[in-house]
Amino acid sequence: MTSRSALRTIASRLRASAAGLALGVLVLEPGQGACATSLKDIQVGIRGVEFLTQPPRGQVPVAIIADGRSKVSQQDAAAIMGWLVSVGHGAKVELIPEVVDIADLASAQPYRVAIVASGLEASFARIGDYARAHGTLTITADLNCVRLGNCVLGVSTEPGVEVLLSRQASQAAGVEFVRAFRMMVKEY
Amino acid sequence: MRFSLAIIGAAALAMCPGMGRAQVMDYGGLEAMFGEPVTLSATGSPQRAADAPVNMEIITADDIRRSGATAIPDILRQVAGVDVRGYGISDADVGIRGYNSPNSPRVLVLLNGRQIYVDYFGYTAWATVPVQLEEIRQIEVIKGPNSALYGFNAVGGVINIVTYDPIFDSVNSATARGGMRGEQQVSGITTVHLGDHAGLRLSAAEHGRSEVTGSQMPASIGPYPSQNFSRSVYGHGRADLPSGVNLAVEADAGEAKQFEMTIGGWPAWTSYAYDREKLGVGSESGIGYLDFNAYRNYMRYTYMAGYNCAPCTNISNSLLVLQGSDLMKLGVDHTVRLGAEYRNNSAGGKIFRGEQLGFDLYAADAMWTWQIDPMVALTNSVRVDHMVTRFKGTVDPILRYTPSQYDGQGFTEPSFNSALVVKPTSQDTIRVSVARGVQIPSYYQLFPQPVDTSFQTPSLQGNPQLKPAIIMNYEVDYTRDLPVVASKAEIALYRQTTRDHLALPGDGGDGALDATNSIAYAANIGSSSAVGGELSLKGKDETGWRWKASYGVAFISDRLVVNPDAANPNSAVDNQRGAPRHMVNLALGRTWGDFEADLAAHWQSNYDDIIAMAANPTQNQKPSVRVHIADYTTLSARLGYNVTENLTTALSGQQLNRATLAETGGPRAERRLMGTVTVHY
Repeated sequence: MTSRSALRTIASRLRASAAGLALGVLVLEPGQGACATSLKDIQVGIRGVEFLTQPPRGQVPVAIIADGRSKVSQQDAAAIMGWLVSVGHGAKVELIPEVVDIADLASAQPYRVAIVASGLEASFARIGDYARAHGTLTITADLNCVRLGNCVLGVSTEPGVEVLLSRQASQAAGVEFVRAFRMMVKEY
Repeated sequence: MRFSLAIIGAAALAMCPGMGRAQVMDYGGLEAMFGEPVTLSATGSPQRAADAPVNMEIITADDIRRSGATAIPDILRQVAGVDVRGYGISDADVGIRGYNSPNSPRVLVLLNGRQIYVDYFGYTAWATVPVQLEEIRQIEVIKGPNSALYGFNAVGGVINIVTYDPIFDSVNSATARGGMRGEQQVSGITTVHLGDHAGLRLSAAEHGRSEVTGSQMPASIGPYPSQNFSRSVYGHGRADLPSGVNLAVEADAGEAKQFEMTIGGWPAWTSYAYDREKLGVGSESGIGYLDFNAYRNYMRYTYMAGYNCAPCTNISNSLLVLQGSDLMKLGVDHTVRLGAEYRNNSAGGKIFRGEQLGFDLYAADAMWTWQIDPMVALTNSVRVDHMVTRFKGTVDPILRYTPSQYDGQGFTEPSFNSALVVKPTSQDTIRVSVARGVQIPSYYQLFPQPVDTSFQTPSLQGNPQLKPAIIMNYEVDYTRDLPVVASKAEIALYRQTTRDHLALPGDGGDGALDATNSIAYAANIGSSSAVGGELSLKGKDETGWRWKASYGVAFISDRLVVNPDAANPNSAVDNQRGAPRHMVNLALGRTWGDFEADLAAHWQSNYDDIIAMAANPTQNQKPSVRVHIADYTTLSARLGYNVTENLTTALSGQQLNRATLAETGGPRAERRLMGTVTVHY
């Protein structure tokens, strides 16, 4: 076995162990949804805007993409909207958030930044298509959207901050981050 | 033209079309995003502190303010495994994981990545660090060798002082401080932003303090003038040009006069005058982030009094460094950094024999981080240094070595760091590492001095045939977040070996003493090994409480070849007893609205310090002797109050539990109380 394959084997076993632990937690706590967006997720995700090679300045319209047919998704979008308006996000730009139904996304105006609410698992591909067409930075707390190459930036903040970046999605959308940022996040 | 390379690089980069926007390290923005400090010091690549492949402790700006300390060594005293010795009120030496001594040579100190450490004796003169505590973003303490990134002398550890960024950060303050022992300090810092893409921060300070009262100065050492002082100016500018080129300029100058325990434990009244300049040019490119740095350090050191010698010697030391690197991310899993460096180091002055002496150094380095899996990363760094000495002049004919033997000597040595970082869960980090570091002899150990037995007996001389000391470090670290108690726990276990231990002239070694001519040469005196570890728990809660507890232990075992000559049977070098084996730090603090209170305690076990023969002038053949220092506890505290949003007052104290304390073989340290007023604007 080469050293490279040995390391990959070790990594695979560690990953399997961690996945087992995570599954155990989910089994023990079946009511815990993984995709609900938290205030901290939003604050961390929006800070990512500052690390674009060409960060926007001034007033920046932000789409909050939600599924109008899903109560969970609507509630998540409403919470995100409330946080962006009232709590603050730490970014140096003034964000103008608007909720956009996934059904209307294809005809929506080009947003530079979009936050993907929960409950959109079935629509990741459409979100990816929109981002590619309009050069949109898509931010989500659903890391699967990033792993599947449809969302650009994924954020998880509990128990620790984890930021995922899809190189495939960012390159397709022409969304470019400064190198220092790319070196500090997990890229897929 | 000292900066010709950097200027050519800047011009070339400025002409490159299509380069991206400025990429620089926005420490504050990244720290806010990731919820933890970030660093460049571990590999030269931006990293979260938790991901660093080295054992690193980061002291934040909040930690610095709450410490109540007025100098960086006092802040470092609270770091697990760090041994700080205060020799008088201004001088201090810092060791990491044992092996501390007056003029400690094994810890490389940097300011924003440029060397502050001076090569003529091989140590850091802390009074010449030009920055004010209020403009420091963080102090990064790397434990263990990191020569693969920083080159020679980063063997016991590296301390990198990182200041705020002139573009991203705005630091504007004026501070006045007064207190016991003649403490008088005024300082000011101002930042000017020129739009969003250029900024300049300037600081200046004058600091006076009275040396310990006469009764605390051992009769064999004193008397010395009592008034220490330092003054400095420092400028740090940055500009992100529209072409995508990042420019950085730093310059500082200053002077200091103080009592200090200099090399080999020689007490001295010393004077420093220094100036340093740095130009950095960087840019994104199609082949990565290109970075060129050129800096020059100049220091003039005068040993003004002591041993009936006033003034008796002086040294000037210049260092020119040219560095270039390319940092790139290949695919999504690989980060690579390639670098090259040239150093021209020269010295002169009354202490050295020779019209021209110095060394040239050429180095190449490479770093590769492979993110094998989201939870597993492997980092390998390697660097090869090639050093050649320069010497022109004559030497006293009674010396063993001829001028030609002092000239053109050199060595080529590799350094490496290799570490596997595993994060089996989001709360656990395991780091397994091995490193090889290289410590080169100082000028004092390499080059000849005038033979003057009226000043020192025997005459102390450098040895051009010295080999560098090789330090190997094997380490396992484990870090765990403990959210239940809002804390993080860390444990580090290491084994460190030193081969070809470098001794000062007169400190022993087989054949190092020429008894006939009463000349003692520097020597490699065998090997030493250390086994030890650090354990720490640090946390804070939402009610404003914060706490930290740490324990460091180092068991050192020497296999030194002490001088076998019957006239000089013992060496003053004794690493086993030369550093405290156990150190404990405890700190507790709380913030209530505008009020802050912090208390810190430090305990360490006994050790043997060394001081020069003046303490025992009958032992003419043994320039340094051991002095036993008993275990001790010291308390420090700070009470701070934000009177308004822009005005902060603080009362702080060092060594509150005892009026005087023998913490070294030098003068006894005395209790100090200080009041500070800071205006932020």
